[in-house]
Amino acid sequence: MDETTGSLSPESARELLAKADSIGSISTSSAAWPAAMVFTSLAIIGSFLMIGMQIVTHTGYGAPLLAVSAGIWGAATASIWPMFQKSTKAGFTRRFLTSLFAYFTLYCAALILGAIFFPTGNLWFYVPAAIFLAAVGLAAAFRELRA
Amino acid sequence: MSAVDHPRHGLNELVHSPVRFSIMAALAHAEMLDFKDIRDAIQVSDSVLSKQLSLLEKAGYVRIKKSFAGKMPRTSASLTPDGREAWAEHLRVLREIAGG
Repeated sequence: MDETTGSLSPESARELLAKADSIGSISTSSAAWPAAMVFTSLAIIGSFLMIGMQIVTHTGYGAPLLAVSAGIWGAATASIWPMFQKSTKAGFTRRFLTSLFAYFTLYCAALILGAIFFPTGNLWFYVPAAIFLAAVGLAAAFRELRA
Repeated sequence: MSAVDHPRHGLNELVHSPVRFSIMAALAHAEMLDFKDIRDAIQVSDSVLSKQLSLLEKAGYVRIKKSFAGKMPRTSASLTPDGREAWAEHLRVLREIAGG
């Protein structure tokens, strides 16, 4: 027994136990987010694509309707995610809203242009549009990570 | 109860130091923790954390893993089975003391 442990009262012991619990929770509070995001994304994509299969196979206006539904679903889920975030970096709300607005503006623009000018599909339009949207989404992600 | 029988004699002196206690508490809830996550959780400097982690590693309570993410070195730590056992025993003694 040394000076460090010599005068421990029941109150001090209770405080240490509470501290241990608190530190444990803090240290792992953000650790679950990546896995939670992965499985939530899988849940959303999987369930949505099953509904999408029904839309595409049973309606005459399949693909555009699927893309519109995906956009609405994406916007709704993207808006819900921040409600669960307890910690955010300074300026998060402004960055998040501008990034979200930019992404969905481009998404709508690509969808409208594609539906009007390329109703039967065009690789030279849809592949660059896909790359552009992916780049904008990833840029928004890195913008938040680097903020 | 004599002085020798008091449960505080069962406390692990290595673990009981404030910083090492915090490190063990953080690692006990995790499979593995990144160095900066431990540092942020227990709010100590890099040098203090590094020194205390080394002591726990030398005691066989902590396993340190060094790797690279691109060119950036990354250090992570986890509790060894001995470390988990020592931590569980330390908490048991604390609960015993807390119980009066």
